[in-house]
Amino acid sequence: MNPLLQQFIQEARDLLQEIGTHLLELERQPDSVALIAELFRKVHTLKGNSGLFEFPEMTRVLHAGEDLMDAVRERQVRYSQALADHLLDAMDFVSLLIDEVENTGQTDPCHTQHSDELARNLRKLMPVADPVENPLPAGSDPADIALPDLADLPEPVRIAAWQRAEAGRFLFLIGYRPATDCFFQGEDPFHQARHIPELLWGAAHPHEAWPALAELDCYRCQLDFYALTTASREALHEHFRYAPEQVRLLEIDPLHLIVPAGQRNGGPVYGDFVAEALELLEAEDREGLEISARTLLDLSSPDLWLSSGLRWLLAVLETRPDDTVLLRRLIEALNTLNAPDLSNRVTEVTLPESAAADVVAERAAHHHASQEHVRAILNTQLDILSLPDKGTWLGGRLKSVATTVQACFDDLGESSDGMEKALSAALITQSAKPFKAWLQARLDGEPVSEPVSEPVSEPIAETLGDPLPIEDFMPTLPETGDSMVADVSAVVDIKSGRNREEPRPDKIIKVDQARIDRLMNLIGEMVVCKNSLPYLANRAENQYGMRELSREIKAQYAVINRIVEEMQDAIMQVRMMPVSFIFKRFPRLVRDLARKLGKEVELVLEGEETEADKNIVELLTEPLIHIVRNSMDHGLETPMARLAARKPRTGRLIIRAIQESDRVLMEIIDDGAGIDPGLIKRKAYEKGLIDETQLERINDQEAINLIFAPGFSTAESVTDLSGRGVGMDVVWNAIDKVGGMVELASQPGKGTTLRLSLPLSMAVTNVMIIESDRQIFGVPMDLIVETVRMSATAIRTIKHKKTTLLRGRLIPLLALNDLLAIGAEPIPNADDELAVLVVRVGNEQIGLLVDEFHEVVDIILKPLPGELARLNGYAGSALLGDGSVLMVLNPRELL
Amino acid sequence: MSIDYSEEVACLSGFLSVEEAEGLLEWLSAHPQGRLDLSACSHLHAACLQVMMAARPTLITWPTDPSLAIWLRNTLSSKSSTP
Repeated sequence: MNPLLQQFIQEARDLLQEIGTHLLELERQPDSVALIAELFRKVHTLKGNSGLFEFPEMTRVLHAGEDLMDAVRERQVRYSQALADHLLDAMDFVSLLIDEVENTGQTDPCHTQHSDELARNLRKLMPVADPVENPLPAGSDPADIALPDLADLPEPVRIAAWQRAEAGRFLFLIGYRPATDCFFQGEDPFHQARHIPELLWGAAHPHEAWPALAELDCYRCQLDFYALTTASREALHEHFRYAPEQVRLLEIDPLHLIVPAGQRNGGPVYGDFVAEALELLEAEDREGLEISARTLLDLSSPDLWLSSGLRWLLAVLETRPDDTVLLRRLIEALNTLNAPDLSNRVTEVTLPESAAADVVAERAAHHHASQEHVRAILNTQLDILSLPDKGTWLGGRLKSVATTVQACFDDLGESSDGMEKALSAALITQSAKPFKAWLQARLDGEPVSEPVSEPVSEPIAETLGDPLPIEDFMPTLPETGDSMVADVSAVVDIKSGRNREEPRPDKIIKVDQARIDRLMNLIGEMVVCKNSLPYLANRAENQYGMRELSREIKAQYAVINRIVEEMQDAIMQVRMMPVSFIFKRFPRLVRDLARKLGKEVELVLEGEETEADKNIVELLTEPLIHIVRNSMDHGLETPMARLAARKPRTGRLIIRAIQESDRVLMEIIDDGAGIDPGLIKRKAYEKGLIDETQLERINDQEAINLIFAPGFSTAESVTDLSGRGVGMDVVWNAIDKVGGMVELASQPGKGTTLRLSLPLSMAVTNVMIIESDRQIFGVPMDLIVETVRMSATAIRTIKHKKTTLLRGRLIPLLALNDLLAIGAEPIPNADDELAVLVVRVGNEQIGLLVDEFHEVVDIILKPLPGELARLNGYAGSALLGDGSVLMVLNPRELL
Repeated sequence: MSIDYSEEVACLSGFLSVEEAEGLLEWLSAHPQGRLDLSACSHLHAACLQVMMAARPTLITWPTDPSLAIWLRNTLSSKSSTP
């Protein structure tokens, strides 16, 4: 299984679990906006991810779920118990599919119906069908799709279908009505129809009368496709898995195929034949009956109704020699020249569609029980081949035998190697002998000399020339049969291949992340332990006056320090992961998006080997996907627009990863339309994100940064790509959470560059220790801009707020003691200077008044446990070398 | 790949994409007596197919691709091309 899929499965499991939890929470507090938004976002992400793979059943259900949640979020639908039930059902179904994907690497198309049903149930809860999402007219039901009249099908097709059905094959009549706007979605329904598996017959048909040519809209699909196939229901569901609502399947009773047709007049009187045939039937002399029918057929013009009836009689005789009732009706029909009355027989066998499953089961049973029967059919084919080679029907007869033989061998699970060769030889020489010899050899169990493999259908097609008779579909059928067999063997190969791989020694060991985390924790404690040695050395010297011992401890400390640092580095290395892990997703994502949006995009990935901590890389995934989606949807233009702007037709999207000292930089650069600050300002104002004064005051860069504001969206219409308000604020938050920064630069008309800067690892945090009111605190170094000493006179009070001017900028000052509710004033040093720690919060700089600066240390930051975790002002705590606890501040929350 | 239009005959070859439909429709409207040569055609997009069904031009040659030829014959035979 490829790593991408593996990751998808893992993520999907997590998301499903969270969705389940949220849904249950929502039952308790149905009005929680945050919960609903979160739930929507999860479903949205899961759907987006599933779209990267070929799991249409899953995506369909999730898409419906997403739309429903969107409606709930927009308050068009109220949350209800029933809604939760349906969503939970849908998620269970997705979960089932995930299990299946994990086991087999794909979803079984047999779920299509269930998926369709679930999606429909979800959509029923929606207030009105969204016209964008549902191109189909409301109430479109596969049952409304017209089907062709079986009698209109050419007789050779029907006879071939009869033989195959009798050999245990399924028989489905298909009506396929593509959506009228399907051409705009890049579909080619004709291509889809032509590749229906095991096709026997097919035709296209307009579903309304054609207008005058001048009024014809050639991009509005007005076609229905009809087809007759022997494929199983599962295979057909799989073939049409992307559009099950556009297809109607009808399982055909083979008896419905028996409709003789032709000229009813002009021929000898057949009363004699009918009487004789009935007698032979009574006498159980099937052979005699067959010979006399064949003789009469040879004498009659093939266009007559009678000939057609005789051909059917022979076809039935071949497969159901014991069905006396049916044979009698057929013979009697020859007398009256009216279609045989098969009504009461038909009702015996016909089942309502709902019971189709029973039919399938019955077929399967029949399948196994009828091996003997199949052998008998093969023997009959041999007899047919022994008949004299004459008449124009030879070619048709040979091919008819070939299809029957093929079906029989498929049914027996044996290969029909060499048959095509024998058949084509027979067709070229206009003699049944080569074919007969081959079949005889097969039936006798002798090894058949293997002919040189050749493309199957070609020689046949050549001999037929023009005009092509209808049976030409048949030669293509053995191919389908073969390819199915090949598929099965391929699956087996893969399985055995996997088994073979297992014992092979591998240089890569897969380790549970928890074990590495444990190592990480242990090394953290080791660092703390090691850091206590200098204190010990100091105590030895100062407290006990043992300088020698102190020196030795320090020497040992140096050694331990080196080893511990190397060890820490090594463990970090284990956790490092190349960013190519996330990059792998993009080529496919970009390709699919480009196709959906009708854009041309060249994706350039750079710095794939750049490494970062696993947690960081994983956290980056979701934001990066959002960013790429946004670039594709809003940034890059369509080829037309690009050409009009004198840019190359194909857009360029660069995703680059660079390591810069202890940080990873990710750049996402597109050469698209850029961001129009004016438009952003207007949209932000409309959405109430900024007020009128801000609207006039903010500069272009600040305006562009507004796209990171929660709830911002410029999209005019909801697409399934972006623009649903799950947007750049999510990116911002995700990056911010791990101590990263986002920078956005854009030039209208030229393109947009988004730069993410992230720490290489989250395991070790670099903090500066500061002191205030005789307590020490840590402040993360990446937030500190500078430390300055400032005389009290440089501090001014503007509107009761302390500020100072530093390097030409006005910086607000806040006392840390006030923020932490410590009732003490900042203590100035001997020169009456205050210590000011300038930190960056968002895009602003703020000065914190503290008492004293101390050293900078590397610590292992631990989140606060239990109830203390609610104290947002602290990022966590760490143990110092002397055993004291350092509380690390979180200035963002504190301010 | 494409369609070669001349005064009387349009020669369709290869795999006709959806983009060809409009051109074909225009040509058939402008040349009601125009005939089609499909011998080198391996597949045509459903949009092209419906243009052919609506315009009913004379075919000089059927496609050599057997399955396409059958589909076209079944489709363009008089019985099934009207609703």
